[in-house]
Amino acid sequence: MGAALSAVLLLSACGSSESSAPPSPSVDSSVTASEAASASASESAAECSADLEPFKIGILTTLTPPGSYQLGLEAAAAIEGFVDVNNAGDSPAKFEIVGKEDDKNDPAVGRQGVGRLLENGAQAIVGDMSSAIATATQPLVTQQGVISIISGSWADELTDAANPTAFRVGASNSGLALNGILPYVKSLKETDGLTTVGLLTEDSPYGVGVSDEITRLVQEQVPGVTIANAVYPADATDVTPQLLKLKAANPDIVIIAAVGAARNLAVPQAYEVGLAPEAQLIAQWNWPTYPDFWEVVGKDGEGIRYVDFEAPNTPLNTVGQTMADKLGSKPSIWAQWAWDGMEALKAGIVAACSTDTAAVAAAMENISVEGASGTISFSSDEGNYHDRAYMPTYVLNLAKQGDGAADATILFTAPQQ
Amino acid sequence: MRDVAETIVVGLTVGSTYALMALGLVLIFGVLRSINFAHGEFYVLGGYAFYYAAGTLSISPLLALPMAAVVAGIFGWLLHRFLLGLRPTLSRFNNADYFLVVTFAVAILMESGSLIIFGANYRSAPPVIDTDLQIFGLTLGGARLTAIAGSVIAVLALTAFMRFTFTGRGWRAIAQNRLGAEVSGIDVRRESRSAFVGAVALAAFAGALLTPLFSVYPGAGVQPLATGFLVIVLGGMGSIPGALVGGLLVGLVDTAGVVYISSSYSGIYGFVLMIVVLLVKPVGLFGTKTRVI
Repeated sequence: MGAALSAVLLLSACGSSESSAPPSPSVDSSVTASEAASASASESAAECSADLEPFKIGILTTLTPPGSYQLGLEAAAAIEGFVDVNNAGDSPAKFEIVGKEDDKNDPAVGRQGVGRLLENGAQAIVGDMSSAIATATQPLVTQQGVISIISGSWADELTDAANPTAFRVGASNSGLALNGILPYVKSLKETDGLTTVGLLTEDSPYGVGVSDEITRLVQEQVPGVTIANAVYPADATDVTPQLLKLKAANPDIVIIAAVGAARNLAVPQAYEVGLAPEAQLIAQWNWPTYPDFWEVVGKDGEGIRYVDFEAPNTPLNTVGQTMADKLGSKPSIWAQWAWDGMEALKAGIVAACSTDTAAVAAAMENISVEGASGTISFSSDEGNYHDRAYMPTYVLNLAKQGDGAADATILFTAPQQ
Repeated sequence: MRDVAETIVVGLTVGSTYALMALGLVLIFGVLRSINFAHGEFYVLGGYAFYYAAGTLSISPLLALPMAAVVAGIFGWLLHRFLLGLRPTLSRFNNADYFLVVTFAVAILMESGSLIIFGANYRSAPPVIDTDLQIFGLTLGGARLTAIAGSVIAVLALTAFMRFTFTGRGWRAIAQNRLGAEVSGIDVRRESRSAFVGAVALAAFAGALLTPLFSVYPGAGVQPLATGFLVIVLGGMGSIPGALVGGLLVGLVDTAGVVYISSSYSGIYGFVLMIVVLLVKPVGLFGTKTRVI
């Protein structure tokens, strides 16, 4: 509450963030953007031995509930860890963190945070944040020509052609719907005779975006399967009315697309209204693998399925092992994406042999670099502009109370498109 | 028919939690004629006190409930004694403005403090009632039953307290006419403090009761504050029965709206109801016109 109200007061006192234009990002131009874009990443990497200025990054992420603060904390730690490791090495690309801002999962607070980071000279905004925050802050970032690395924000429009300096290393709403949920629904229709899919979504760009995409794709491509959806306010804690509405449609599965507190609470509440266990509950990202899931949900969580982007117990590659050594534990996929966003930035700087923001952005379009979560390269296709070229997707199951990601069993692996 | 019955039951259970969230606000507005922006944070404080007592220390939830209210009440007393109860030194502030600004600052500090002290995780604890109730195809769990029973008991207890105790009658006198109460020999400052402490304890009691149902986390105070305002405006500012009836009505209307109209407008139905009621009865369902002297 304090955050929301203070944001309103501060905004009214200071005026719009857009009205106070922050200084342009610092420029250390040794090549032009077009020159950088034309050079291949590998050639530039080999040739770049310039003494480059540190590239200034600002971290904007969610560090407090009710947003996805766990992911934000992991992302921030990964980015800071990357900077430590990288700056101690011999890469010509060095980084300077000019600030770390908590968006509190509040768009107004997020915009204030971005404003401060830009004023501090940030040339790239990194960190895990919800789509609502990214949607609110992106115009400010794009307007300043600053690079944004999108990892935890799934709204498709964040990396459309209107945002040429935005690059996505994580999942997207349309990508998840097309490559993950759609084939899973098709599979369930064939194996289990699925007829109705329930969607419980929060009223955020992520929730509504993914709901719209799934609805459109299933209606177009899976005849005989109907969609029932229910939307709830993102800050709600009691979603029994929405679950009651879904119950009336008698769904076979219910996909929960949520970030806030209701993501956990929806599980026992689904049992309360008699929706579960008849309908199989499916979390739309890996929130059931976080410890507070079992504390809040208890035995009602047993048998929950969830979507994830890495298989359990996948061995770490070299980059992932470097991460794990630095962070002290095996990194989650969210932390890997945050780290990989920095790897992409680093590759762009080396390819451009410059810390000029435009040159780096142009060079990033052509990079192909190995990250903790696999190869990072960005598509230039209209449909998935600046999105990650390929994202593996799994549906997993937690069988008993207390199970974590390592105990999950894979129920479905989405075929590579 | 069964669908209608389910909708009514869900609406009433949702509404009972709304009423519970609003009670502390009602008391403060009714007696002090001020808006307490820190209401949600006292709710969170109660939730954490209950979590540590019942969840971590394994104290009986029945004991942990009053303990949470007492802990928050002591905090509220200290807050009023050393901050809120001070007369503003700047003449441009009147008491209501001072109260509003200070509670706003306290809310921000408490929210940040919760994060630092308690961490960011969602926390839950066992409910007082550990049994399920089957009704019209619904399974009301112990946490839900606790919330329903708690809201009814809290409203009845507060009503009785206001009616039958000297302190309660003092609060009512202050609510009706602050100057008149003072002339009649009531220590307005002391009774205002006791009303504030009571409101903080009530908010914490609500937070403790609802922690098993909704969990507690820094930032959990947003909804009780927003919902609380809606409920007390609808029910009538300062009216305790109004809080119960207002909460139940908002719960019913919101649930029916989601189920029968569209879930896209969830959260808006209650405000539409409030606007309609205020157009017909500007003081709310149970509010009464007062004359300021």
